[in-house]
Amino acid sequence: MTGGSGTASAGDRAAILIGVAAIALAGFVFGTSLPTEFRFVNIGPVGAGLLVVGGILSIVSGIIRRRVLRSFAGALLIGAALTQLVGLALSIRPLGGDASAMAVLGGLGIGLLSLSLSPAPAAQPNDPTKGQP
Amino acid sequence: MSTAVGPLVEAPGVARSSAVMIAVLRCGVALMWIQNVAWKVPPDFGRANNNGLYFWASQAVEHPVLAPYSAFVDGVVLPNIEVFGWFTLLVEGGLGAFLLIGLATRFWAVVGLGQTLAITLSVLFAPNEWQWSYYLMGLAHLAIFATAAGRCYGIDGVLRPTWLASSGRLSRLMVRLS
Repeated sequence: MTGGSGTASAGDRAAILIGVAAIALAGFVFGTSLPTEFRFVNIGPVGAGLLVVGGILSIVSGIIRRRVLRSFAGALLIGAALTQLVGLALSIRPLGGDASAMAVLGGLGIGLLSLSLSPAPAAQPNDPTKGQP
Repeated sequence: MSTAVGPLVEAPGVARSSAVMIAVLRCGVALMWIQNVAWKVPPDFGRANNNGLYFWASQAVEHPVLAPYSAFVDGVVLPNIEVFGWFTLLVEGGLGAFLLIGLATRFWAVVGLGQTLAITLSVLFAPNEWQWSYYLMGLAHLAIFATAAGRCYGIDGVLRPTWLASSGRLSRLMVRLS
């Protein structure tokens, strides 16, 4: 599916849901003032910015039904997660935060790539009676 | 309700409210792993200051739960904490990532059970620990496995129809793991 008309597929809706989740989780960039008990994700401004960009791309990909955009968003987030992983090994934090940011970025990125790389659902068999008066 | 409740749910017979609660359970457990992977800090994972993962792993030796496991931690894990630390970081990061999106959820529920067992054997008898924390962690993963929680608002629920319709090896594998 590279775009088209008709109702949104489950994949499109899932991409919108993942995008919303990415933007919501980016909110943890403001979580440093939270008590530790509620600080589920530690993420810096760069990581949060990437989550927001990836989330917006994902939402747009679901609305306009463009798989290539979904792939791009997924690759962006997975790239960010891998960057954080390498940063952890080198004791630097390119995206701010820690390994929790890597898990969130990686998870959402893997989800988007899975949605974009899976085969399109089989087309409905053509019903010759449909559209007839 | 006797049919699937929506396009993001592939669980016949599950009411929408139940599907939402199953998804909340899965995402909540994912956040638990995500929050707790944060204090697995390379490169020495706390060896230099006797804190972090090194300290908690050493509790298996200080307060043994199962003698063979304590001997394994003492003789193999602690001397090689850098290797086991990275393994722990990747496993717990993977648990958080995959449970969050609900992909291969049943597989990751089994991984979570295994990791919970390792943690339980390390710290169950450590001072000030509430043993039911670890029992509940295990039970939560059992519930995720039993309900195949990724089929409710997870990637498994979206892609399973495609996997089921395919005869490819990867699709058949994913059907089993989801």
